[in-house]
Amino acid sequence: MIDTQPYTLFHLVDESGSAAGLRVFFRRGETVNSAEVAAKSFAASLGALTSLAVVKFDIVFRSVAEKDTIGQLGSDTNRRILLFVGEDEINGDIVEIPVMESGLLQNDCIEMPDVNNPAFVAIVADIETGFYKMNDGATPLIVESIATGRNYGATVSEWVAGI
Amino acid sequence: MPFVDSPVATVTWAMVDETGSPTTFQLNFGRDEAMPGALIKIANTTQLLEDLTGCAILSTTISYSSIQTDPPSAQPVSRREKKGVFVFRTAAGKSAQCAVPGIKAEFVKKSGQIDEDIPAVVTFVEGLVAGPTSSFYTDSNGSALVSLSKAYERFARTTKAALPSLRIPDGDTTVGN
Repeated sequence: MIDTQPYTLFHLVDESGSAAGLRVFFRRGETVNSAEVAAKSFAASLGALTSLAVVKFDIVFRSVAEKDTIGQLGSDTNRRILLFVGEDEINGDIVEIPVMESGLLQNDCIEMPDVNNPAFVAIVADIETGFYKMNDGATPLIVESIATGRNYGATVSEWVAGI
Repeated sequence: MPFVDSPVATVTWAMVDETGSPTTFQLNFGRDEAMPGALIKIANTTQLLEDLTGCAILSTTISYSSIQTDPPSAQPVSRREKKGVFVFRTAAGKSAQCAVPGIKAEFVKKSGQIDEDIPAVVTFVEGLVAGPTSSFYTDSNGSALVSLSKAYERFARTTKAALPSLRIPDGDTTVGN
């Protein structure tokens, strides 16, 4: 991965509700805190210059692959595993993982991911280490996982059958 | 304009499958995590994702959001297509452009140039160009913005769908309508 130039993206909205953006790059090596201070100062001067409302800004650090490539044979972004994280399926978030076509789904019940697959166990453990958080800052706890097609209403078996 | 920081930062993995179809995967992490440690954790997850999905990871993007809790209303007749274009010279001898959406009409001369003597414009430009001790903002190659070269108004292409409802031409060519 190669680090690209970090930037701050300001989000603006005009009278009709149409969104606009302004991106300004800043030098490498700056911390998030210093970028925030600069962004808040810049937002004030931007607000004095534009007739639009400045509603949000994102400080973005991006890394890109050294060369364009494609996935392994059998990888398919149409198939997903949904991880329900949080207190239960209602009170929590859904994390979607694109999944390989074979090897990760149970042979006898393809709607359910093979929860003993080492790659699946590893990613679940990684998500639950405490580093990753839910939207409200709480530590995620995966309570259930199911496989599905891109259409959330269909399970993989239905999706494969063309339903 | 109080901006409130989101309690979490978001990391987005962009990936493609064997057909080149793109998708993304997102997780949040605590905003107060130190960046070096976070990068190590994210690199580890990147490898696990590749092992799990077989997809090729094309990029990882870490985003820290701050949201205006009490945003001011956009001014009447404000249009995002009306850009104030500021062209800067960079330390590398090249030029970099910054297009401000919805530049206020009172800052634009009849010629279409932006009045560079207006205090709001001066403050904006001084906030971007490198001072004697700092050069925070850069162009996309990391070269500091050294000075303002020119500033003018430009209209971006407008589609009918982008027009506010009251601005859609109705065929009435009567003067004043």
